[in-house]
Amino acid sequence: MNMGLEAKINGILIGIITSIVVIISVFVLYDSTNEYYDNAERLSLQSAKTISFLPSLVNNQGLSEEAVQSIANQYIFENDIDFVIIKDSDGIIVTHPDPEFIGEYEAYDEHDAKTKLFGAYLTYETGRYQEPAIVSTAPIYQGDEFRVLEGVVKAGYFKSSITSNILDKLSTLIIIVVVFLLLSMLVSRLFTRYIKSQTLGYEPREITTILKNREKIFSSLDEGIIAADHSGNITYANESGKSFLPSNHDGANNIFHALPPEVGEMLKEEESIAERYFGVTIDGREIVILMKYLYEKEEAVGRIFILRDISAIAKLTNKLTVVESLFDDLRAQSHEYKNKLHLISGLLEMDKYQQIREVLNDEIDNFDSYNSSLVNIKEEHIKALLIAKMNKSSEKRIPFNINEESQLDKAAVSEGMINPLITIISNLIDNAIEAVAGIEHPEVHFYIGNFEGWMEIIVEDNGSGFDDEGKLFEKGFSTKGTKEERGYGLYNVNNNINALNGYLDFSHTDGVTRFIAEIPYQKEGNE
Amino acid sequence: MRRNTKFLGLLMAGMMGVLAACGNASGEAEYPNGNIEIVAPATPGGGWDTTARGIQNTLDENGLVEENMNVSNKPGGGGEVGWQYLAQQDSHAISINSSLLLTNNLLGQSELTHEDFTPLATLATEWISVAVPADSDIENGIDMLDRLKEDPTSLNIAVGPALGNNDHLSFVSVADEYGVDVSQLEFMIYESGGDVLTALLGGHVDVATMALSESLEQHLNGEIEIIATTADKPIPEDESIPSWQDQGIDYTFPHWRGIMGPADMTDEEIAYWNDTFSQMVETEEWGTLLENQGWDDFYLDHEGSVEFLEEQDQMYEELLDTAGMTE
Repeated sequence: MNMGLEAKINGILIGIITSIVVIISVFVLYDSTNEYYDNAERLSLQSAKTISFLPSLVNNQGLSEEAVQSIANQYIFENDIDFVIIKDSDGIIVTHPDPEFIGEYEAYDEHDAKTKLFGAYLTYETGRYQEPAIVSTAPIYQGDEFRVLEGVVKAGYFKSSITSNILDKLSTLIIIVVVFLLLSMLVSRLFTRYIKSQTLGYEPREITTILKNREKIFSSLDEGIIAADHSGNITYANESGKSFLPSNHDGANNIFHALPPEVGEMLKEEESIAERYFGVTIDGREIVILMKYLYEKEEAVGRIFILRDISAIAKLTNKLTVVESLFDDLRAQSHEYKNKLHLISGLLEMDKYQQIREVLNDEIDNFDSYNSSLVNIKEEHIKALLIAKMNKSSEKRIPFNINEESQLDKAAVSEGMINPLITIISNLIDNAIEAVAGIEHPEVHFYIGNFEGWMEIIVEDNGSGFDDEGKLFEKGFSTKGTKEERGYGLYNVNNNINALNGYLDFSHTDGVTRFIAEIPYQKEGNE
Repeated sequence: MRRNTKFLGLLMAGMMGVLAACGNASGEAEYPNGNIEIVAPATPGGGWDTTARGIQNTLDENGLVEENMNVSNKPGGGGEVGWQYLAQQDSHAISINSSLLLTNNLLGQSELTHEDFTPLATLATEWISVAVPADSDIENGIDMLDRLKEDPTSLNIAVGPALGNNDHLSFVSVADEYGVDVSQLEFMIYESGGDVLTALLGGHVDVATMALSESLEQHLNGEIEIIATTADKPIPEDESIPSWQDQGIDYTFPHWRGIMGPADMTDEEIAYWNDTFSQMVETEEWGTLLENQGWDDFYLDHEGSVEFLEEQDQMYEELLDTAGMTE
């Protein structure tokens, strides 16, 4: 298993703090080591000089042994110096930390000889005295009128005392390092706990997985999901949710501005109901919007919109209606044939052959007239629809005339146009038939034609027309009785014509109600 | 990281180029553009002071320097005070120097070295003499060395103003070479060259080592006797004065004086002084000054002086290290 968040944070924090502390300590140690050595050098030289200038050091007899020893001891006691050695110009030791050496001869070596001979002030390292030491030498002069070099003073500082100083420093540093380490552990513990509390105890990897999965699930939904904050700024939209929003628009970030203004206004209205449904049309698409308020600590912080495009369902519903009406028509037709067969059977019983012949001729004429007016309509679905409508109208005793100049090229109707066309034609004809039902001398005329990329459908009737033309195409508006679903007739016609980028004209003049639909189609070879 | 350093390096090189360019531009056009200060690291009346004022007069009277020149006395510490002061000045200050600049550092009396300054010229040398009172029974230099060889403490030797100066060093050096146990020698240190002469005249000391210019007059008057010099040629005033070479010891020791400026002088500034001093040493006034002081002309320009100081520094270091270590 990979390292968890806690281990990582601990590792990084402790690692960084440790390395910083260690690096700083090394620098401090290096620096103070240098400083100790510099100090030791300075101190020993200063001491040697100071002692060499002390006036009580020498009297008329040269270096006075007692005075020198007490001065040296006092100086060692008062200052941070390890030893003082003074010898006279003959090399006889006058004072020495080890009393045994006092009075002994010590040859001038390469260092103190320079002081003895040239009066040099020198600082050097030597192993000559007990242990390695930093030693400074200074000449001692005596005399007023003229001066004579009486001896040499050496002040020394043992390296071991420098080392012990460094060790002291080191132990202080180690304590500091340890304290910092403990502190860094504590800090990283607290920090980890804080982060964990922010991520609800999840590891970052788990959060990523959750987010990815959520995104996948939301993307695969057909419903558009859009989340927005309280003022409508969109905080999240899944793939299909984005398809409801304009791609390049100033208001694309705000749900109230991204949707058409009337929809936006509708959604904006504040209500205490947590969940509301809206049915709206956007760009010819029928959409149901479910709006929910999001609450955090009993305060509305945003809204979620779930948008579902129900255009396809509406389309299917239309088609089913058409099929249902065709089915009714066919039933009516078979019913009428059955009536005719009863009539023929009755006439046969009565041996009225002449009348049987008239009935049959009449029927055959009907067929001819159908055929002659339908001969130029090459599209089979439309042709079948028209035949069904003819039968329906003849059952209702309403003359239904199809203009003999009607023609429709098969190529003018592409696969996608068939369903909308059937809806349009079926509804227009049904409306016309309904409109003339119950009046004297009813008449319904139908014409369809295609020319130069435009298809024209004309349906006329001599019914009473509509009272309120403005509402004609609204959903649910109908003049035809009380059955609810009928209200969708002209609404659907209009929608389907819009979907095909066509136009619908309506007029009512001289007792004739006329619907003219103009629909563009792709001419053959232009594709 | 690497790239950064490289970039930084380029940047710095560029900046230094610009700085150098600025220096060139202003230096060429303007130096010197203010009063020149000649630092004499001694009290008025001493050798250094005399040299400084001599230089000032010569440059001024011959119109070699058009700017005003002042001599400022900064006595103390065997030149240390004056040279510390010079190190803080800009290139309009120059100072007299001598071998003390080198020995002060070697003897632990100063942090300054010749590398902290810009040598501009080496001007003159003088010889060092060993003298005895007129009534002394010491016959000559070799006689003195023989006595010291037998008993290093048998003679009182006067020196001033401090151990380690050229008078002292040259004496120790000769004695060391002759085989005397120099560590046993007894020097009496006087405050100045004048005091040394007085002590010698008063018979308080057996021998004195001092500059030839300090002893020559009394020698010519017959009040003292010069028994040896560090010269490599006869002394014009009295050709009978013997040098160490004359007495069979191959030893010469010039005590030199020169002039230097603070560190980091530009090429143009150095070129200016090279030009000025090379003309100065040709003048009559300078010749007279040398004659009055008993000095010899020893002119070296900046490049020559740098080399000379380097040589001298090594020489002194060896001298201090080896003297007294022969026993």
